[in-house]
Amino acid sequence: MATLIGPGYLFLLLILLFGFLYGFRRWKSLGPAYKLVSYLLFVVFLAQFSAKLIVVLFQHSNHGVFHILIPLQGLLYGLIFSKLITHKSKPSRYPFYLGLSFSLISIGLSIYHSMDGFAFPSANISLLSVFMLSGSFLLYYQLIQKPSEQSLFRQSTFWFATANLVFYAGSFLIFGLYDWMLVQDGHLPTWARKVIYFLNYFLYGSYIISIYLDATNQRQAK
Amino acid sequence: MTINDYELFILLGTSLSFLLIAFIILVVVLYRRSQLKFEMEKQALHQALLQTEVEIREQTLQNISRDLHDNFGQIASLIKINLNLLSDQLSDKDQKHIAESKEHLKRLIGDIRSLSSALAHDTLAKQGLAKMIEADLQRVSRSGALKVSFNNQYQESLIDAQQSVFLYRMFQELLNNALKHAQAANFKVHLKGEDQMLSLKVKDDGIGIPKDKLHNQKHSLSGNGLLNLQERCAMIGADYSLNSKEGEGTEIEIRLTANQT
Repeated sequence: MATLIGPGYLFLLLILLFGFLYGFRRWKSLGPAYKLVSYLLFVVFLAQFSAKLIVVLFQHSNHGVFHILIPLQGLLYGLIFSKLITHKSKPSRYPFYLGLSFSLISIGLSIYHSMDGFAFPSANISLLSVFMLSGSFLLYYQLIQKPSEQSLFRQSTFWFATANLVFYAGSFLIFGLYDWMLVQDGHLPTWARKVIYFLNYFLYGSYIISIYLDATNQRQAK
Repeated sequence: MTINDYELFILLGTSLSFLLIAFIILVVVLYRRSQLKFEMEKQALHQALLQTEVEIREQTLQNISRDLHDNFGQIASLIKINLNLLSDQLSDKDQKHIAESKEHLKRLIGDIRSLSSALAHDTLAKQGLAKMIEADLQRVSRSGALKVSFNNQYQESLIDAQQSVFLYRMFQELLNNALKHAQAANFKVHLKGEDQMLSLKVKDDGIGIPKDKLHNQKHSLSGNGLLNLQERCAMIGADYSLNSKEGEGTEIEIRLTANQT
């Protein structure tokens, strides 16, 4: 099994495991947005773990798992953004509605594509990337509009927005060209897999940093 | 995938990475700029609040000064007149008491007048900084609480009225601290004006400020005395130095450049 689960994948699972365990451990010190980020890490961990199990135990395609994961992620991201983005000093509900709309569209796309069997949901990921990039730009805008005395690098929102910006900009490029790459080579090139792993490490690593900073800042504020 | 396709992908990826890095740097720069603007606005607001606080305090002191002069001073004067009327009809023993009372009353009227002058900032404008400081020191000296000395090498009109009020209030706070907390026997004041530069140095031989209080300035001297001093200095563009060791007294010097008008 160790050879079937490569070191890169194992490392990703460990980051996710550490991330949500750390989030749950600091639960009381976390703000509502970062509690949701901890949940998100837990959901992604479960999805990635079960996706690998399906391949290892049943030698079956695991694409279906990602068709379930992506709408769930959209919904959770919508909730997180609605806690982080404020309108007139109150959390805004619009990001949640956008996340919900994205989830419904994503489910619709999956059903539409399922007629030919579950392919990898590259279109759904590209769509999610657009949603996430817009959210990140809004968070940056909000940070610049409402600065605090704290350094930008000590702010959890900055790490959360940067993680999403880097990951989803990369994902948009790779998964936007995913089908084209498959047509060219018949499979995803090794370098593209390595880039995806790197982007994942960056994303979830930065989420852990943001959870740590939020817990520290919330504790100091008390 | 051909070599050309691969190169195209590398090119796209590299361009995207550079774009992202440039964007994040731009966010950091914009944030820093916005943060500086925010800090400046906060500072300006703090200054405005301090200014208002000072103005309110000055107004309150002015009112107290007027009340002292118009009410208490007048009543004391009336009592003195009555005592003068009484004294002829009394026995020698009672007359002695009346004379003593008149002497106390005379001192009380003097003190009320000088306290009233010390509180009113328009008296400061009329009499000048050096005379006001001298009057305060004389009052303290008369009370016997401290031995004072005043070395004045200051020509009036070097600094403007607002700077004078601030400097005088700072001096009063330092004198008050020496009386209340320092347990000092001697209090020396040196006022010097030279080349648009004014220096006010006060020194006492009291218990000094303990190290922990010196490092935690918010709680040193009287409550937040040092912080007050710091803020007032900042408001008139003065700077100050403090020298204090436990058991060896405290020396504070305030240096101020006159406003160019």
